Amino acid sequence: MVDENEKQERFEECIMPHMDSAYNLARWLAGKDQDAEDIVQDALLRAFKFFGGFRGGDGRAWLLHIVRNAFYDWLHQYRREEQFYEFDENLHHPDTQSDAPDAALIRKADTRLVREAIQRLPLESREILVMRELEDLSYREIAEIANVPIGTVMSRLARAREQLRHHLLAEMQQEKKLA
Amino acid sequence: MNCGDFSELIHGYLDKELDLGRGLEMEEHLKNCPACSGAYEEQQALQSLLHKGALRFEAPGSLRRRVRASLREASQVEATRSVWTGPWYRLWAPIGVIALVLILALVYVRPSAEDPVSGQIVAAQHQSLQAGRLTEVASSDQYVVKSWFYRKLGFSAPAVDLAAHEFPLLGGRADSIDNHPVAVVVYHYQQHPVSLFVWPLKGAKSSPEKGLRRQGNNLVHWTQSGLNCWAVSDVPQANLRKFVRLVQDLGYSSDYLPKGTNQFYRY
Repeated sequence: MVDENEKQERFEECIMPHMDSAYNLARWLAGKDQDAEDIVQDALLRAFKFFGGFRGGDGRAWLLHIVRNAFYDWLHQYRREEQFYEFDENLHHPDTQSDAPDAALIRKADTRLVREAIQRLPLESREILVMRELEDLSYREIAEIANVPIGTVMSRLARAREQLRHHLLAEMQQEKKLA
Repeated sequence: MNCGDFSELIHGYLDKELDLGRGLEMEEHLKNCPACSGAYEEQQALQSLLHKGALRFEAPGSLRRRVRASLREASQVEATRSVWTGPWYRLWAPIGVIALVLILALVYVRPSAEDPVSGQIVAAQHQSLQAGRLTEVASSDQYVVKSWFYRKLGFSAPAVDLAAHEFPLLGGRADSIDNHPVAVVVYHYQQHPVSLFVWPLKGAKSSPEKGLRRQGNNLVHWTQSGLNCWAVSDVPQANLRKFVRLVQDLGYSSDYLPKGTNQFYRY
C-alpha cells in the first residue's frame, strides 16, 4: 500500500506535468479533440502501469514515446490509415524550381494558414515538426521517441519543412487569387 | 561539398544540432552561396512563424480530471492485488516450497520431459527455413508487422527495425508452440536469420534471459511484461544476447499485449 502511494506521488511529480505535451502531440496526430483525449488517457494509463520501468531522467520524452505508440495502435485498431495517408502529387514532388526562396513572403503568412498547412502534411512529417518546433525536443530525444537513428531525424525534418513551405506558399497564392 | 550536400545540413544548423566542424563549414558556405543563404533565411522565417504562432494545443481541464480518476481506479486495482503479495504471501510461502519440491521431483523422475518448448522452437525454425517460408508478412516497417500480428493473433510482438544495429527487420509469421498461437518476428544478422518467438503468458513474472544451445542453434529465453520470449538463431550466443538486449531496450513490449487484458500483467 505504501509502495502504491509512493508510486502515485512520483508519477504525479515526474509524468503528470507533461500532460500538455502529451495532448499536443496526440491532437496534432489524431486531428480531433475527442480522439486525442482517448489516446492521452490510454497513454497515461499505460505509463502508470509501466512506471516501474521508468528509469528516471526525462519524463516528457518517456511519456511522448508511449503517446506515440498509443496513437499508432489506435490508428491501426480503427484502420483509419486511409484518411491519414492521402497522396498528394504536389506534396511528393513539389515544384521547387518555380518558387524561389522568399523569406519576406513567408513572414506574412497568418496563423490559420500555418495551422492548415501543418494539418495537411503526411503523418511522418507532421509528427516530426510538432516534436521539433512545438515541443522543442532535441534530435536525440526525437530519435528515441520515434525509434529512428538521429540522421533520419534530420532528413525527415528537412523533408517536412520543405513540404510545409511548399504548402504554405501554395495556400497563400490561392488566397491571393480568391481575394 | 556542393550545395546539394548542404540542403539537409541547413536544418541541423538551424536547430543548432551540428557539431562544431560542420557548423563552421556551414557558416562559411552560407557566406559565399546566395542560393543556400536565401533558403536558410526562408527556413528561419518559417521557424519563427511556427514558434510565435500559438500552435500548441493545451490539455482541457476535463481531460485532466478524467485521467486522474482512471489512474485512481487503476491504482486501487493494484492495491487490492498487493494484498496477495503483501504480508499475506508468507502464508503461501511454505505451500510454494512444497509445490516446488514436488515439481522438481517430477522433473527428475521423468528425464524425457526435458524442456519441450525449446525443442519445439528449434523444430519450428528448421521447418520454416526448409520450406523457405520464414515470413508471411515481409516488411521492415514495424507498424506493418505489428498490425499484421494484431489482426492475425490479437496480440503483437517487439518488431522494431534494428537495421542501425545490424539486425534489420525482415517481417513476421504466425506459428504454434506448445498449443499457443505464437508471433514470430524475423530479423537478419549478416545473412543469418534471427527469429523471435513471442506469446503472452498470463501471470508470468519477468525473468532474466537464459541462454542454451540445442541442435546447432543458440537460444535465449526470458519473460517480460507478461510476454514469453524466445530468440533463436545459428549466430553465436554473444551476438544473440546483444540482439536480445536491443529488443528489450527498444522493443517496448508493454504495448504488445491483447487489448483489454493489459491490466492483468505486471511489468
